[in-house]
Amino acid sequence: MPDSPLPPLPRRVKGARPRFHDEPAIDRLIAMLVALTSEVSVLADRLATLEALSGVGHDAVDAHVPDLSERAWREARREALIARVFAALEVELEGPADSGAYWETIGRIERGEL
Amino acid sequence: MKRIAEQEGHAGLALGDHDDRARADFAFTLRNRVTSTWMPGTRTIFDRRAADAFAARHGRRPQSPAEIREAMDADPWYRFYLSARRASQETIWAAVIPPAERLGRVAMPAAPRGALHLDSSVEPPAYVGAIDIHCMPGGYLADRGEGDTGAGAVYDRGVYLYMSGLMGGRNDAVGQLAVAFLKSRLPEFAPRRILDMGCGVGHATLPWATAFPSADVTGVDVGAALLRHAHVRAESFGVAVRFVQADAEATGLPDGHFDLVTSSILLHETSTRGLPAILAESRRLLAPGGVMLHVDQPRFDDDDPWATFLQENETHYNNEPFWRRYRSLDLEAQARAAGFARVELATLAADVVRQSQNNAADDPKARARGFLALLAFRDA
Ligand SMILES: C[S@@+](CC[C@H](N)C(=O)[O-])C[C@H]1O[C@@H](n2cnc3c(N)ncnc32)[C@H](O)[C@@H]1O
Repeated sequence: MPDSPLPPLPRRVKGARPRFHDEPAIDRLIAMLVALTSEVSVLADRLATLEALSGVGHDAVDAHVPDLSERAWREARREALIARVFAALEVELEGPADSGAYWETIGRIERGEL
Repeated sequence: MKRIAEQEGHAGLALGDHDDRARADFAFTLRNRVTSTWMPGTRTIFDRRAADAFAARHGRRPQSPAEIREAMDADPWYRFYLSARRASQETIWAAVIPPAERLGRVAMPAAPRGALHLDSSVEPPAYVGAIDIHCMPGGYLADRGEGDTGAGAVYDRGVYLYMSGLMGGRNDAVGQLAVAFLKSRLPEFAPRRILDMGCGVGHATLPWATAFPSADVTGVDVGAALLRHAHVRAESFGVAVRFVQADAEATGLPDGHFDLVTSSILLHETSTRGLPAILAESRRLLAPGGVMLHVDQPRFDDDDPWATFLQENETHYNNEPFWRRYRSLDLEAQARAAGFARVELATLAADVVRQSQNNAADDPKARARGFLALLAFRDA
């Protein structure tokens, strides 16, 4: 048998993917959502595996009530997570993008003024 | 109820590591959700509003499969469902391809009971490679050369997940159904040579070899990587089968060589031209008194437009190009045209069949539906 490694298996499907929505972005978003849910499920399974292998057990995790300082620590982490995930939404609250200033800066750099 | 049950392990099965298996489990659970909750939901939406909305536009309720489709296509829930269902299908392949890829080149068994005969000069019929059936990337023909079992390893896992484990630990429910049918219909029949056409990875071939242990069993398919996987799998299960790369329309095997020529879910994936050629080849290969048995989807039930509408979705959205046309064919007439004088049709019902037909498991009308057994006898 040859030593050379095999090339990757095909990932693309022959045959056009049907369009279900007039706006193709919606179909892509649905596919992303399904893929993302799959990854969340994989992570949840990994945690469950850790709970099982570490000897902690699923019930002990379910019964655990974090104390106040632990909860405050988690709260801060959740806030940071939400800020990162919803950054695309929140950035607009900071005011309209100043595209004039952007191109003005580029122009000044190109003209050697900056 | 469909539950997670492990597929029976064998030397070629690519289950992968923890996260690969978790991804496959997710695909399994999501597929269950699609078939158990979303698919029946299409009927709820139709009854609740889509039919009325159609009636408001046209002044009458949808009657034909085409009108039902028009009514449903106009409904936003239905479109979202179709899109999510397609994505769920893609999730299956995305879960099973990486572990199959990591198999690399697979060594063929050292002292096989059966055999593997590959022939790169075999030209597959155009319909096999034209589009990737069931949206399996690369389709049946992807072949990366020596030691490549990839397409077979992907198909083996994909079928199991797609059919929610209803195919059984060895993915052999359809083969078992066919064997049980033939044994009850012809209890005295003891074929010495059996040919399974379009055998794929041998899911339906092994049941024949097990049911008739003294028979010589041959499986033919056009996919080389499928056959390598089939060979590794059969040897791992300790079942002797000779796998041969050949086109079922013209196998190159000798006239009158077989007592039984069979296939499982092959015909609906061929073509208007290919199907009669396969029936004629079956007849040529049969010894006098030999038996042909092809098991596949039945004809459409024309007086149930809703069932027809559901069925046609396979052609519309699941890369099943011949499905719609196939299901209007009169197979009995086709077998007669191929030269068989004695032809019988029978219905083989099972859970796995209902799922493959997009029917809800608890639909009473669907209970009687099954696969079609096309049985014919070569004159003695
Ligand atoms: C749906 S699969 C069924 C596989 C197997 N019989 C089973 O029951 O699991 C259809 C198979 O038929 C093969 N096939 C389609 N047309 C063929 C032909 N003309 N000659 C040989 N194989 C063919 C495909 O490569 C594929 O493996």
